[in-house]
Amino acid sequence: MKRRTFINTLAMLPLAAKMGSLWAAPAAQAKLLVVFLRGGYDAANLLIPVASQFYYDSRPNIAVPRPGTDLNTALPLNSDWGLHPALRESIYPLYQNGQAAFIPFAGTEDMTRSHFETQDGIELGQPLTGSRNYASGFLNRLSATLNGDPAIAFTDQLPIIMQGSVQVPNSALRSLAKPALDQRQSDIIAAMYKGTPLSQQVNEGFTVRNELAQELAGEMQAASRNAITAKGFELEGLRAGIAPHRPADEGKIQHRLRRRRRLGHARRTGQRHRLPGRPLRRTGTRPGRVLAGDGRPVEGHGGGGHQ
Amino acid sequence: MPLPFSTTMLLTATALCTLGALITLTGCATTADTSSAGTAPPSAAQRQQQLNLLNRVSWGVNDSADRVIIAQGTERYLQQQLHPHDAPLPAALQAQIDAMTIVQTPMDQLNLKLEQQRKDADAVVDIEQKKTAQQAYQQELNRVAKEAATRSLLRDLYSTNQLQEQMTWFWLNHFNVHLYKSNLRVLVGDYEDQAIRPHALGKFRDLLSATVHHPAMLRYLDNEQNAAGHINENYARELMELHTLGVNGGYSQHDVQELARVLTGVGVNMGSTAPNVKRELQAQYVRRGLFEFNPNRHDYGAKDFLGQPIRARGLAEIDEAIDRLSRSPATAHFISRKLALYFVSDDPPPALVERMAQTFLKSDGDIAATLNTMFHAPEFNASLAQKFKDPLHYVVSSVRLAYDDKAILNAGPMLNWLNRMGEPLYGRQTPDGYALTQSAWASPGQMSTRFEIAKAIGSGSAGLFKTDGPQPLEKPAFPQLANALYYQSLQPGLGAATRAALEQAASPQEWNTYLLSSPEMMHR
Repeated sequence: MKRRTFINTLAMLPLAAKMGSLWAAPAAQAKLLVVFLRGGYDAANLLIPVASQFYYDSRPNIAVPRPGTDLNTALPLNSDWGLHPALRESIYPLYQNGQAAFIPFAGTEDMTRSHFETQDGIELGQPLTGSRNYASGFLNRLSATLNGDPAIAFTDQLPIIMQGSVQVPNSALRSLAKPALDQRQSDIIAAMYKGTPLSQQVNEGFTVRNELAQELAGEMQAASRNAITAKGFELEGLRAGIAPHRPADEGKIQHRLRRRRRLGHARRTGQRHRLPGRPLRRTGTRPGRVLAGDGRPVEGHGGGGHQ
Repeated sequence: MPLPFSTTMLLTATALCTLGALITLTGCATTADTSSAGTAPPSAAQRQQQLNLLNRVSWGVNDSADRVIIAQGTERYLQQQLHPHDAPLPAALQAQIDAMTIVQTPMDQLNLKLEQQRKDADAVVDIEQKKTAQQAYQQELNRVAKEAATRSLLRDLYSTNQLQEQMTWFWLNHFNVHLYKSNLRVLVGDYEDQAIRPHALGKFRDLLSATVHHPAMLRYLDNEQNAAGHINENYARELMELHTLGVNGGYSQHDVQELARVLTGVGVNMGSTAPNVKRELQAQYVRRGLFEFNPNRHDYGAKDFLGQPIRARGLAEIDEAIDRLSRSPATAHFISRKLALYFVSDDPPPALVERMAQTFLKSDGDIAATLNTMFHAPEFNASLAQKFKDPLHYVVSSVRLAYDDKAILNAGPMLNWLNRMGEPLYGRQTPDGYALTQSAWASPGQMSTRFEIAKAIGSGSAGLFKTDGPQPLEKPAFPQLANALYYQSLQPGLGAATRAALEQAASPQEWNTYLLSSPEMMHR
């Protein structure tokens, strides 16, 4: 595996909070970043079928009005579709620049109405009929098809979507402090696993941890000119009123950051390229807002809520 | 699944056949005699088998648990675990638990107090002061939730009723709720202690009913919003899909809708005032603590559920639905399979699941009886030491092995490790609960995290003996893992590679770290 390649591309993104920078990456840096939102949302309230009378008939009270001069009306995308006005500053400009697209009516034939079955079905990407291989996610198969171009999951656990024949490393960006075990100790531990089914995970874990820590230490320093710390960023977000719950302590902040990372699975390829180190402040509000919508459950929302 | 330590496993496999045969031929009592008061001491292979079983049935081997199973013999140990009596914790630990707010204040009173705090905070006019007051409220919610998680861990670590504690977590995960929804942080401790734990080895029907009537569940799955004319199907769906019948359990969307109607009006009341109920329905109103059945919100129409009518009569309709769900063969199979997934294998043998389901049905959903069938199955014995530990099992078993009955002073480090590995208590957001399979946990990132935890425990630097508070008191406690238990019991079961690693340790700290990092420690 060309580990160095993905580490270098990862280094473009020293913190998940800088996700906004990714949009500005030049076209030559072909990458696929998959963010899987594990909650549910009302698609017809985000992507508004403005040409559909059925939509307006079905939602006499909560439909988003057709595009107009009022600030509460849908933002025009084309003659059939509009965007919820809350996205005016975030996703809408991306659409206008040709950097965002929407795929309506994408779904599965799974009629169980089970949230979990449907999630599994999407992550597995296999026909619903017949027996399914639960150890084969579609991103893993894609990675195999792309000749093993490096993929990585920024999650604590390897999600189903990334499980399969290609060994995909994972590392939550939160835990990238200096490795606790030195090289000798790591080698001795790895030797215990030699020839066992866990051997690959153990070796991969040590290698990724060490290399990420080394690469990111330099990157973080280079990228942190004028940037605020993660904690400062959180406080900044609170001041801007974008976080629904005030974290009571550092642990809570970590909890929230971790959850966000768990939602995002990324696969990336590409040449070594670094974005200029941008202060977090500039891109801070956008990911914060996304986070507020899908991260920590907001009161009266989340949990098992899905219909 | 291939085994992490091949030479030992050959021995063990032989032992399995012997033990399995003994049980089938001669029955339980005889087996107990052979391993305890019997004349001949157990062979090395039998001893290894006993340790492996202890490791599976408990939260992890340690010296005191090992002494108990040696003294009682395997069979008597199993029966005691399946039918536990109250076993007090050591005094120092009981004192830790007794000092907790969640123990000293009943849930409904604690809730009232915190509701008042929340209202007071919201009513503060000054923005900065309001922020401070709201933060204090959130911190108090966090604190009581942390108490609940700490109590849970202390019981896992030190209770002699190890199976009951294992099953408490199993059912808590099965009937999952998430602490960060609404004010569930106030409710999770009571949910675990009052709804789950007393029934963890009892009748499934009682357990199911206790969860149906607990405010934590009714709030988590939105049933408090479920009313006649404003149906919310969430809970009804999960009750069948995740709690009882299973997704292919033979129910239809119509059944979901009908069960949702049965559940209308079942909710919570976090305040101190009762709702206005129509005069003719007032006799039907029920309030028990925070649980409330409000007949005004109930759909009193005729219903049919799973192919049979349900007579409209208010809250009692639920009992009828619970009966039907808990006695369905689909439930027997679904629950049996999940138990086998937890205790036997990521791919439970269908024949074993079938036998367990038969016991479940014959015993009217007796959980201990179902487990008894499983514990005596050759498939169970053949599976020992091969189930990959989820993070909670890894953390608890490591601390148990390191410190045995020495009481930790601070569970905070353990809670942090569980956070890092993605399995905090009450922390699963979705109602399906945490995965019980290796593929969900054995990722590269998780393995390296486990080794770091092994080092923290092994070197005594974890902070488990450092009290919280402004003037933390630390009693350094360096674990002695190279002890009698190790040399007499554990060492013979270790693979050659693990022994070779241990020989390279440059210090006792490193030796501990390697033992806790070994493949053997990752499995139960």
